[in-house]
Amino acid sequence: MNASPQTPAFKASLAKGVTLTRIEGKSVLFSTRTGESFGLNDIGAEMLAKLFAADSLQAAQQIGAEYNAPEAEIHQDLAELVGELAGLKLVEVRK
Amino acid sequence: MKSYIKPVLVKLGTLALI
Repeated sequence: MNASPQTPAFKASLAKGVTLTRIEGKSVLFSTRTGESFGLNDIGAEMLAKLFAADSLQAAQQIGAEYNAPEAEIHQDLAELVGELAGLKLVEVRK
Repeated sequence: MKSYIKPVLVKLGTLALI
């Protein structure tokens, strides 16, 4: 399970004016700039929390160990999720 | 052992901001 991820490592944080909150057991992203809200499943919220605390490689490693799943696949999924969030201006990505 | 499922993002709605 130590396959190196194909996608480059990155860091990210919530964009200005965006909150990630747990409401009645569900994770919700809310933008005070656009008024849009998005729901995240548990794995998505867990991925983001680990990504914000460290970087994408460490997040993928931790999720991989917890779920006994391939790190490369998790890192790719995380990159796609963050790409989608960045497109919505909900997160800011740093290399 | 928890099984891995892909992350999913779903738009819930838009609040009209004044």
